[in-house]
Amino acid sequence: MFKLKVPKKQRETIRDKLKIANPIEYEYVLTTDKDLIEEDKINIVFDEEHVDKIVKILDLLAKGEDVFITGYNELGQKNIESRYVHYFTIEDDDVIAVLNKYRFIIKMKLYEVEALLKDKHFIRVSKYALVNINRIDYIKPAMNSKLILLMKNGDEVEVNRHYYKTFKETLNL
Amino acid sequence: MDRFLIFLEFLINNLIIVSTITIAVILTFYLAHRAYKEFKINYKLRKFQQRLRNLSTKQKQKRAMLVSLRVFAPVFIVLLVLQVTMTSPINYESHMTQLKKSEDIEMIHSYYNQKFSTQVSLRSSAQSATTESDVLDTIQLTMGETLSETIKTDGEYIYYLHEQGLTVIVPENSNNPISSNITEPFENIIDFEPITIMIDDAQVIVIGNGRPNTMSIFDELDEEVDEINTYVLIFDKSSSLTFTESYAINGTYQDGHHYEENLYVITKHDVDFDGNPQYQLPSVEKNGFVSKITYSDMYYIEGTRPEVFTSILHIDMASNAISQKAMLSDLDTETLFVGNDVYFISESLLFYEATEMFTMSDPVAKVRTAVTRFSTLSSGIEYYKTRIIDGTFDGNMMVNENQTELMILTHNMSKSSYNLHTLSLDLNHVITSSELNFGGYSVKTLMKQENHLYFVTDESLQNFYVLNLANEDAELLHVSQSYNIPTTLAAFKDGLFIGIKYTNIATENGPVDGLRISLFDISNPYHLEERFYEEVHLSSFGFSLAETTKVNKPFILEIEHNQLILSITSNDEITSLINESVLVFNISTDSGFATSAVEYSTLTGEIGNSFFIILEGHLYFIVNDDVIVFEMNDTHAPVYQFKLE
Repeated sequence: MFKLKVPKKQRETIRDKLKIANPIEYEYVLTTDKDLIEEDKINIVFDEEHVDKIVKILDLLAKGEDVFITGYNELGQKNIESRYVHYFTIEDDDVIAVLNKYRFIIKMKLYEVEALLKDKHFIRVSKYALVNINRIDYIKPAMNSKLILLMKNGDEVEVNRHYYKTFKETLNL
Repeated sequence: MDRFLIFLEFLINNLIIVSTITIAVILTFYLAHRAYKEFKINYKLRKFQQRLRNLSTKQKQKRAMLVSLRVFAPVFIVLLVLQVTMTSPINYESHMTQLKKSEDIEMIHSYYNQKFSTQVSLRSSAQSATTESDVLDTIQLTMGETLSETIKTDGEYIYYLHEQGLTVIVPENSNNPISSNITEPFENIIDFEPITIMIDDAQVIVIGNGRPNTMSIFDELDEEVDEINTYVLIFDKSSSLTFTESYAINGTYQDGHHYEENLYVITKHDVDFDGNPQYQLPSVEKNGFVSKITYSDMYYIEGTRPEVFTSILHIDMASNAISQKAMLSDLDTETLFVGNDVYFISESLLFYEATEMFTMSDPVAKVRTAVTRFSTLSSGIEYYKTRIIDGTFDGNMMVNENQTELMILTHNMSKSSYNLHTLSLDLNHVITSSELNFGGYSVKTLMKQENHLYFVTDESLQNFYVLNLANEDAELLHVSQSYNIPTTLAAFKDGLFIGIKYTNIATENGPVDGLRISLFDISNPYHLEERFYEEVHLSSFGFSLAETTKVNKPFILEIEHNQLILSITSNDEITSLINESVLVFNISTDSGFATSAVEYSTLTGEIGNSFFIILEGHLYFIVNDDVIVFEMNDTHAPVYQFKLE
């Protein structure tokens, strides 16, 4: 998404501070030298002193604004920030949002949640599960053209054979 | 390079391991492919997440290591098994060791030699115990049976196996009794030594020893050709005895058995360990194609002397399928066939540990007897079980009438007593093991009649003992003591036995060779009663210097006509003429023996093999190549005479 174009001696330091990887495809060029801008891309020219502010801008550009979903559990009601949800699943006709430790009932249909979080890097992996890509820890290939997603909270979610192709295409696997 | 060749030899002889390695390699490739896919997917996932500025994703090291290890696990396991299998020492604790490679044979031999170096005296003592001074056989002949292995009849034809081939005789045709002389494939075998004929409804099976005449695949394998082979030649009865199959097994013939559709041939050949070990693995050449035994089809039985390969070839006569197993075994291993099971009885030494040698006087090894069973399964002949029993085997074994138990008599030399072991046929159980004491004398032989077992000891004044097998705690009873215990007992009728003893007969001019024919009554198992006897001076027949030997002197007990028919040889030292005579006794249970007819046929030449066949009311007396046909009636008149060749 972001490409860093700075002199070689500064590159590693700034890259660590900005928390960016070296992408093959990118839309934004980040540079400290206005002569290095690329005309067909969006260029952000900054001074090294403003790196902290650039980090916040990059987070906003990459993740967008947070979306909140209202969830319920035995303790009451809570607005959940979508990026903390590992995955949504259906249990006994209820849509459940699974967080690191907590689980909330969401009073929406799963396809409604999917539409709401369309741009928030959630992906449908089966008829019963919608997964946060950022919360996938590891992918284990299983037999029969299936994948097992190990989530960061330790749960396992299966990518159904029907959604296998879409899943692989979305993540460029 | 040597190690590589040893490894290759090991693989060739262990096809199961080769199959396992192949499967392991295929599995490794499959797992490697899966691991590659898994690493690739997760690498791309991390890249994708980095683009989303989620930099907390780290590679799961444990999982990566597990997947990597999983890929090589099958190969690791196979390598480990190979290493353990190839270098594992021989396990002398178990009764049987399945061989795996040529080094195993050397290891066994080396182990045995090392132990045996202190045991030289044992062999000679064991041999003296097995020396047979006399044999008490119980024989019951029926019509058409002969005591010859090389002349047999199927009731229609007489088959005569000789060095030049197989001669078929039509007994009914007195003008031209020789029907055919089969010379092929005998002419291709050098020094063919006829051994036995087996006849069934469809085939005539001929077995003999010899050496191959033509170049064989053995030459290509750079092995010695000048070895004795056992030839099994099969002729089809339905098409004028057409030669159909031939099998050549390396080694000399020991024993054979034809049961149902199965033919078993036991052969032996030496393992020469003088200097570098040299031996041929047991092999069989079927219609020109050689198949060698693999090491995994060979066994070593604990404590036996690794002197010879004893091979069992099983031929399924219906499908012509063959299977072969072999034992690295004692030269004196004996064979017993029970239906489709083959039993081998060998001497097995139990060596005491070195530490015990200092506390024990001679001997430092215990002599035991190993009984090993091979069974026929759908896959062919297979090793079944080995059981080791105490004592030295000296040739006395038998199976009970119901074929459920195996009885083996062993000699306990240190105690001068015997053990009668009764084993279940599957060798899983020792049913009884009774100690029998014959006053320090050796048992010459034993005989079984219904539930009673009779023993004769080898004292000059022979003792006759009986054991009632129906009673578990049966006592050994001394029945009688006599100089006249026969060497051969043949069941006659009404609980009566005919006994024949070749012995010296006292005359006015001193002892002469003769026969004592007795009619024994054992209807009371605890009393051996000699009802009648007849002594015959052999010099009464033909020339004055008459001799007879137990070897090759057949007799027929013809129960239908109450006749005992014997052959007698007499010779003239000056002229070297030999007289082969037929002596016929009529037997009466009331009055004993009466010499019915004596017929002479003066022949010249060496004393040869002589046989009888009774067929279609005629007695065929065969001496060497001459056949004299007699009527089977009171006169025993000769009908005609012809030569076999």
